[in-house]
Amino acid sequence: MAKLKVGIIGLGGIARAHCSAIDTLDNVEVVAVADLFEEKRREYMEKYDIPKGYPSHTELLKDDEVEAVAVVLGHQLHHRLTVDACNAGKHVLVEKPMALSLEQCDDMIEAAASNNVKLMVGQTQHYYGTSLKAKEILDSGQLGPLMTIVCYMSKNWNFAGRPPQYRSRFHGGGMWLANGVHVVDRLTWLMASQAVSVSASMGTRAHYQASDDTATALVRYKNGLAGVAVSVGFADGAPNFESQVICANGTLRFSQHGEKFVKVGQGDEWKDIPFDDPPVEMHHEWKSFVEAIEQDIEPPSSGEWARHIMEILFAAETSAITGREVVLESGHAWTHQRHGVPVTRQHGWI
Amino acid sequence: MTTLKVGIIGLGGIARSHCDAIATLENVEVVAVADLFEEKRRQYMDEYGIPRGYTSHTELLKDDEIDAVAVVLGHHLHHRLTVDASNAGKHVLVEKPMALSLEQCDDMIEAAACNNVKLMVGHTPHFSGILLKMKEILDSGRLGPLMTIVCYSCKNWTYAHRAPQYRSRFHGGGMWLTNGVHVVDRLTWLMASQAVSVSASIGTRAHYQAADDTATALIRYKNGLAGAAISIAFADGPPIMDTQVICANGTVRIGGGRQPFLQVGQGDVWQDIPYDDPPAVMHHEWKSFVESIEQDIEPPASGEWSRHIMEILFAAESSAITGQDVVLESGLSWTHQRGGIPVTRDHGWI
Repeated sequence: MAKLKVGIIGLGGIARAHCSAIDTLDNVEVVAVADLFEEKRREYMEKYDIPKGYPSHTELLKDDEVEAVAVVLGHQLHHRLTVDACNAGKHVLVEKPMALSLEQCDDMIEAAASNNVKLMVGQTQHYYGTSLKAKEILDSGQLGPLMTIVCYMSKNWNFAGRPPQYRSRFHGGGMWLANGVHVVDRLTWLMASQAVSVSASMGTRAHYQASDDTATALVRYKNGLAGVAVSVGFADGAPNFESQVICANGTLRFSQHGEKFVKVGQGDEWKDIPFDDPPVEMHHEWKSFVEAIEQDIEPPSSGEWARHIMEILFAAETSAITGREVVLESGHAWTHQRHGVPVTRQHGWI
Repeated sequence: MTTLKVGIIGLGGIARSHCDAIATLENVEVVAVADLFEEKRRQYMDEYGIPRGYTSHTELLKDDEIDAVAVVLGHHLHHRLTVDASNAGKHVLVEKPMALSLEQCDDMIEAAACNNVKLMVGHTPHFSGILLKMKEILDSGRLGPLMTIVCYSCKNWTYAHRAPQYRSRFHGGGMWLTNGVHVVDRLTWLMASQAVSVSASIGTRAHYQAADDTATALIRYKNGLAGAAISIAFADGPPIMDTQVICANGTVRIGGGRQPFLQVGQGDVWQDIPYDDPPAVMHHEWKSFVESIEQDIEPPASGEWSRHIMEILFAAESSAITGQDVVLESGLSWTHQRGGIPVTRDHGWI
């Protein structure tokens, strides 16, 4: 079996997590990195034994050996780099949030489709040991029909350490796009339905910055249920990364960060459920991406999935501005997989 | 100091909590009970040393020795009995939910005002030891401005033992009116603001009955924030009575079902906070009711407060039916205390 050859575009902090995950897999390797800074390239090439380094993504995309790229730099660059990479015939794994408008998302999906390459978005919540176990329990049906879900990501915003683009909504920053995207993704994945409408309050309440730090959103789904997404970047406090999934015949709670657990409540008891931790957090993400390419199937957290998550996020922002509930453009009909390719077992809408 | 003389109307299960609370206070005593059933009257009179028993509330209301009554029977009877008691010149403590329509609530407020008697509604969250401690921490200001709140009341509906009126929305039953009223009251009290609008999903998902068992609601407040209220009666699972309050400079939460705990989070660490449990669950409720009568001040959880809570509950029901947010009639302006009398330290809108 040939190894998938990957180029990493952008050597910020998160590139490290991608390289470490690729290291845990036999059928994929990093052959090139691209970054403006020589020092960064040198550091990654030495640490992960990567043969080639390029000062720009355009040069990396000309490298015929590279089959797939990870687009892991500023949110405002996701769109352009993904489209360029697709047009160069590379499969793309792009970091979340997918892009800064639905038009950009559509561009990216279209570019991947017309170049016949895979597009996956790094919605990490689908790939943790805790969340895969949680989804397995729900999918088994043992807890019965769903009643409601509340998902949190509430943590210290680390204001002093935040680079400028994270403090600016214009550049795709703020707690909602940076982390709310995880909360809405997790909620929608667990809800096993598509969103209809959103009612949200958002604001900047604990910091001076040009982007939000507080969001509370109710998302209405096509299954008739509503779920709650809480995304807060406070100045001081203790974190909460939990999901509360309440079903007719039992309750499921889990958390990947802070305290790490999966618990099922039945009778009067909460029982800890064992789960398998992957060797690194992005292990299953890269495994699924490589599988999707090798087997020519739709990856989980595909472009169309992530577009739907972005549609919810943008509608929540509109709702916060108007003070009213906002119905999504896709809200009153079921959307379907546009290109009709087989899906993985872990696909979001199963 | 004279002792306030109380009559209890309706000897269902909750009458016991009222009698137990009154027994912990020196300036109030039960002098009469009213119930259709001789056996019930006998049981309470013997157990609590109550001198008189009446077969109907009309007879009890003619008893001139009685200063105040507790209206503690079926939700659909709250309106009529409260109006009758006010017209008989008795102060009224009525159980929650206040009544089954806003017209009924207005009637009750009006009846109390014209007869110059106090009207209080049994919103127990304002009087629990753990919540009073939480409110004290928030009121101290040390956690800074509020960012969001999520309140839960999730428990086993114990379907087999539910009296028919609890399984019928027509009679004021269902989880939302029975316990959702506590969640919305707790949320609004902690939010220290008035509601603007509600988005909610409500349904009957775990039981066959003519009333809801599931509600997820987002309530928008005049302070610009939103809070979430989760009210679920499942068929199986341990109770979840959590309250999560996230402020700019610290988080505070109540967790646990059977063994509740209060914790403040700062510096990424949760710390347990001790609190005092009152000698009986309804001790502070009766203490406040008696105080408001003695000092001629507005009781906490007054009729006007409770009307606002009911306005939110009914709006949430409309929102669930239409699938859209509903702006309250009182939503676009601040409402004021109509009677213009002094308030207690524990009043909701402080």
